[in-house]
Amino acid sequence: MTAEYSAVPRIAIAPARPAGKPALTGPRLSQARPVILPLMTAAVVLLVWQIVVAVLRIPAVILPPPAEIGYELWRVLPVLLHHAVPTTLDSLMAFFSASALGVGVAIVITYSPFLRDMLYPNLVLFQLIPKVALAPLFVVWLGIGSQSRVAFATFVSFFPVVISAAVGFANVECSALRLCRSLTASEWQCFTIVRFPFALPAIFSGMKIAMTMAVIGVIIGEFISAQAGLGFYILYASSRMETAVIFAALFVLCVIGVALFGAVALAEELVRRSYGRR
Amino acid sequence: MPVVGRERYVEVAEVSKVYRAGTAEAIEAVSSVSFTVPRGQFVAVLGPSGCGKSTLLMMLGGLESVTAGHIAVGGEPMTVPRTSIGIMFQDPTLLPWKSALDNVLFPIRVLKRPLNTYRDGARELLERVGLDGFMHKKPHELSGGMRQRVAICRTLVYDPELLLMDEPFSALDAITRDEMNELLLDLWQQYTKTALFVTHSIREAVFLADRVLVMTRRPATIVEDLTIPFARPRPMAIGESREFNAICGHLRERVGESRSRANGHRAEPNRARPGPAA
Amino acid sequence: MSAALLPMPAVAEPRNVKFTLAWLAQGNFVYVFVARAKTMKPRGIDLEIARGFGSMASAQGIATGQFEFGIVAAPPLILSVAKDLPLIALATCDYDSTMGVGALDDSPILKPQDLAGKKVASVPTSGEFPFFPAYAEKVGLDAKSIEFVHVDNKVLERVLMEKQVDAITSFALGSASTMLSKGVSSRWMLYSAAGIRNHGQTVATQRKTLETDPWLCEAISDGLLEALAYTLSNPQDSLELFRKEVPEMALNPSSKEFARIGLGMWQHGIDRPEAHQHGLGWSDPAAFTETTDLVMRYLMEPGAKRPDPEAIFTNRFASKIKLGAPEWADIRARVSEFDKYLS
Repeated sequence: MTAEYSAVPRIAIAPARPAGKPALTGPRLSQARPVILPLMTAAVVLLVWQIVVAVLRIPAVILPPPAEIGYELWRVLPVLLHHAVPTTLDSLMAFFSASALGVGVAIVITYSPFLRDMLYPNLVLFQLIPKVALAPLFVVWLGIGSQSRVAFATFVSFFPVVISAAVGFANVECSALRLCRSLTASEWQCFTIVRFPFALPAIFSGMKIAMTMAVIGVIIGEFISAQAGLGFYILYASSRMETAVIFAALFVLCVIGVALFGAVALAEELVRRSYGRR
Repeated sequence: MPVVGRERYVEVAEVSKVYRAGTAEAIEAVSSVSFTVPRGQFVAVLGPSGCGKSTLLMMLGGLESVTAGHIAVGGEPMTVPRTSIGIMFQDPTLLPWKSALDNVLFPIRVLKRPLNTYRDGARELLERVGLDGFMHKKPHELSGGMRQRVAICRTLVYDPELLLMDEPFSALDAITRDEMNELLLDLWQQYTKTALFVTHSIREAVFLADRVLVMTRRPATIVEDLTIPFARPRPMAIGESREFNAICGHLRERVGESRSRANGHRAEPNRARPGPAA
Repeated sequence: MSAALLPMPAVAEPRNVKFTLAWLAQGNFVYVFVARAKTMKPRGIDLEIARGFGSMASAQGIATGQFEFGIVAAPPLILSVAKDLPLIALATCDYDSTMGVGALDDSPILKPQDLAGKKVASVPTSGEFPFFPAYAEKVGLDAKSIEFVHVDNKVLERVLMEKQVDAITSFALGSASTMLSKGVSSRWMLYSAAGIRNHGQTVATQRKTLETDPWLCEAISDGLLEALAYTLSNPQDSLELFRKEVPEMALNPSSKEFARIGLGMWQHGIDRPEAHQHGLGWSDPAAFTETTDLVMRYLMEPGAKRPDPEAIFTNRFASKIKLGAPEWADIRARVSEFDKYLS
């Protein structure tokens, strides 16, 4: 038995590897690449920045070196986190308001050709206005409290949602709508069962933009009037010429922005998965 | 059932369809078509692509309006879609976020009938078409043929009296198409519905139908009403027989004649001529 | 007052010099435009004037080389030098930047202590903002009891006029004249009245420029101070010149009035013992020292390096123009109408 068995040629399954050495080439490295490359680039940039500032003796007020920014970040982190709360809450409120309002107006536009003709071209045109210029007006209209900031941020982030939702609702496959009609479905059924789900991917892409704009809108609002928040704190640091603190605050702001955007993108991905990556 | 009885279950009388009627760009898609279909008959509507046969089907299903003439199904004039009619199109149009089973049950949801009553029936249908291992798969996990099979089940799940099918298998490859034809006949045998099947494949028409209506190019009208003499059930092998091929040859001539005629001229109507003697 | 007062270098080609104001073109900068029109050209200088966005911004603009010279209020200048920006003041043009707390005429706030528990709006990037703690301490006010609201300068006066806040901090000169031109009068409690001496506008440049091109620095300083003297004695004519140089100022009656009031109030800041005794452009070392103390105490980290007075200002080009007593009397008479706005 044994003799027969050993006469059968064996097929090698994996190349022999020296024991104890992990494989650094091949699939593992290419998986890690999307993460390693940007991190390395960032590290190089920071290093160059640090050196340039030191060599050219740039005053810290104009451009602080990364080391100082890191130090300030560590030093004032509790304060930054304290101010991050109102900014984040205001951004979320603006985002949800803009999304609800945007989808609502898009529904109206889809079902009323009259209103569509009235509103849609104006909405597209409004996109072109540099809305930052209108920020002080919101303070004039709504006062110096949180309402004016959230209203302004909602205003700014409303447009991407309404336009992408309107396009999404309009571009539902005719065959799906025809199927509904052939089954004598009501308009409401058509909307909830077919139109809205088909439009979700488009709505999500609008919402991703809206999330970013909401954060920006809130910060601009805080620049115009605020009693707390990261925008407020940035101006405060700016008044004291503490540029490194400004950068530290911006860093925290970036982290928040990315996290919020990521949350929306994650929701979008989950929906996309259930649709089967259309 | 009103006076009309079994013989004239589907009645089409001098029906025309003109798009953009009254303008310079008026297009007559269907011109003065008349025929009747008794209950339980499988009728194929054969003609070259784009000749208006789909328009006729849409009118029969209540999805398009009739410009002139009159359509009645079961004695009632046909103006809007009905739940006693099932329509299948070339595109299966499955909802991508629902499983195969949920897609089949989709009409039940729309019609607001109790899902539990129909669930077993839906499962049976899916088993019948060979998809019993795929009931919980999403459309993106199914092949084109499988999706059409799900669409067939969906059309049959709510037990319609009349089946209207608009080139449902045209987008599939030849082998799959043959499979689907066999499957369709199988199901039709079991459920014995009245069916109208639009196609541009001569062999498909002869294989499936009791009767073939040949239509011309636009403005479409019927130039031949041929009874198919083969008994049921029909094995796939019948496609090899000489008689089958003779009928196909004859139909090919008729279709060729109507195609070579210029727009606006109509072939001689040649009604209800029995096929060549067996 | 003729341009032949001070000796001028012979120049062949006009040289373009980029100059930034500390804020919008308004009454307290009229003399810069007079300089551009009357005193710079004969010196061969084409003065290109840009509006500013606060003293902090003009300081940074000069430090990065975007502008060769500019106006920076003295306290922010000292803060900049303490933060390692290599700037120096060539001349001090007025002696009270009019930093203060303002309220509407009908406000119950009559003295600094009345601010306790009230809502006060400030523009954080405005030069007076960091010095409020010093003011609060001087007048015995608990700064924590005040509810501060940060606003953008576009809405500062508006939130006061609409009574969304009880008071604002600002440079009285700018804000009071803005509100006056809209028909709203205000009362101001100046930091200087509480004993916090804050010099007003300085003409700032990079230290490097002073070392490498002292002639240019002298020319700029002379030209500006000459124009300053002219403006003091010929306000009407100066306003005319101002309007020609800044057409948008002549657009509507309220901006004309705005410039006139601003100019009037500003002259208060020059009519001071420093100018009487030392002539125009003189920087008082004692005042600079006091302000440096405040900066080190309230705005810098403990243990930070205190800037050297030599590094902050120079009196090299100062005191060349001295006005006589009659001229000061005239000026005094002209500005008395504006007394009531500044307490």
